Amino acid sequence: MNDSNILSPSSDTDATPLPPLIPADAAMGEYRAGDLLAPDGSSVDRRVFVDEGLYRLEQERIFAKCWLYLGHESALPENGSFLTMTMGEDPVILVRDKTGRLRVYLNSCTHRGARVCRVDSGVTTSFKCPYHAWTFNTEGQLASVPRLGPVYGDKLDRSLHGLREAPHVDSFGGMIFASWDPQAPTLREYLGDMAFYLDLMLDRMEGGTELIGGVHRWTINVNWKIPSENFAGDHYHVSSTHGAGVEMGYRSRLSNDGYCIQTGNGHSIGSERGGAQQGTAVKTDYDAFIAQMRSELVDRYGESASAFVPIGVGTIFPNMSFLDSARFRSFRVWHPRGVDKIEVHSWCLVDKAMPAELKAAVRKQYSLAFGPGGIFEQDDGDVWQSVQDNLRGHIGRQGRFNYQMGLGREAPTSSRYGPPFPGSTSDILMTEANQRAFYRHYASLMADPRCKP
Amino acid sequence: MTDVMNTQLWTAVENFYRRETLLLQDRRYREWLELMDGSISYRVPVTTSSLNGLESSEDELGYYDEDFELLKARVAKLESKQSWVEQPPSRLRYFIQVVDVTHQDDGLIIARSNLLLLQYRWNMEQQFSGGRTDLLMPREDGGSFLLRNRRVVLDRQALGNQGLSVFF
Repeated sequence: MNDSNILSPSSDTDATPLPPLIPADAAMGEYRAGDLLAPDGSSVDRRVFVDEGLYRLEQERIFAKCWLYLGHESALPENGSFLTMTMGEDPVILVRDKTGRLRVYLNSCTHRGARVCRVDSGVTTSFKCPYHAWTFNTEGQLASVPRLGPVYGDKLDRSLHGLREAPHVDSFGGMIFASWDPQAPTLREYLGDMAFYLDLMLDRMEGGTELIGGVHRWTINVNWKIPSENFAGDHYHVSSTHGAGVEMGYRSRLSNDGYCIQTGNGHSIGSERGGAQQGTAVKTDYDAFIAQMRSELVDRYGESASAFVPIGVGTIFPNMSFLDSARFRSFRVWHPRGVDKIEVHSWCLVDKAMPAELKAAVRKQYSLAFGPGGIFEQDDGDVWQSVQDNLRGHIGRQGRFNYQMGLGREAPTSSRYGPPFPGSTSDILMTEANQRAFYRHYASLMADPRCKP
Repeated sequence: MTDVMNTQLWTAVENFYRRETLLLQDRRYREWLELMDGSISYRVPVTTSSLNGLESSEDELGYYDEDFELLKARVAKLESKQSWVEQPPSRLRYFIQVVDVTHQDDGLIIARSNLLLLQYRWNMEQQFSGGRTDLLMPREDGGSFLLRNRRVVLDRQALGNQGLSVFF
């Protein structure tokens, strides 16, 4: 997607797949890229989180282009199973059609635009618009139009009025993604080396993973990039924001021993050694499972692989994040709802082969820590909202956020952990390397190859 | 059950909720825990919008999905000076309306109530409404009850704001 003639080559070593440096003279909406971001991503202007024009451009260049997470295969067990979701702000239906193929449609009637499906999930053979009763089948075709002959004669070609369909739908490890971009790379190419780490999270036990039923939904008045970059690599906030969680023993004090890996395309992951949420309060038998999985990975890749179970917290660019901790696995999407608001959808993932009692215990642990009322989540949301509140004023939107932490400490992950671990990492946990990679990739999508005069 | 006995039971149940309301409003959560039986299940399930209306299930996610130990862990967290979500503390106003009380053969009481909760926090305000179904166990010393089971179904499907930090 990047135009290598325009974007400067990375100054980092060839072995570290950092996104390209940000070309200062490229246009980014009404702005010059250099007026919004430092070339290496080490500072980002506050307007990037509050400017309406940039937000509209993100809808076009990021959310209508990137692969976005939509749902888990275990939630669509039979032909006709569907769920509703959004891609950016666009409402969509994900459905398994009559032949079992996964399809994604804009949840909007082609006649006058009304929502054709109003519920979260179910099983159906058709979607009937409540406005004028145009009805679409699971293949997206306009199957029936009331009074077709008497009111349209032969003027309406139904074959031209099927639901708008996303050209690409694919899944990885049970996770279904879609893209609106006809030119999109394959999902596997898009995930790139992050696929290796996702695999460590999703394919840990024989039989794979499944979702716990239900989804946590809540809103936070914050720009979507603040939580996305937080999960990408903000370990530094843990000691302060989550001081209460440390104090009551749910997690141990944060150490600086760990990795922050970015794998290109804005994707990244990080973990302190042993995983987040190591603590002595309210323990479950999950510890034994983690120890077993860790020893299996060490058998495969050698002793240094012990650092990679659990795999940690990370972000699949742009707005899907996950948390594979010492106590549970969960993932979430930060759906933008305007420049200053998100709706979070969050799920809990377990291995199918786990005993039922352990699945229930893990479900409760996830809710306790990272559900909408989670003892960690509740403080993140509160602080993030205060960030956004502070950008509203004329003065508050001036200046830049700083991302210099850990500058210059990145090296190929394999140089620290050996093969096969891809991407680049730092030698300390508390670095903003992943956030810099996030914004460099962000800028490469947002910048117009035509320079700002 | 005679009308007189029934009235006494309603009064006892309402007295229990009056005491609980004061504890929750004042965020005296340690004392609130004393109202609970050690085997309590405290659940606020998520709901899914389906073609048949809102549905919830016992083995699916909950906003709250607690046993006694997990509730104690939540209380310990909220008591910390670093619990930012309640720094400064919210002002809370609970309105509990008992709508049905049933005496079971095993001596336990099923009490259904409507909940309205108004919350004002330094950076936001929100309200919750929902239906509570409680299982109350008469205390052995004859006074009041212990809460054995609580299930609250909220009317809103997505929580309207960040940082859920109140109990229902």
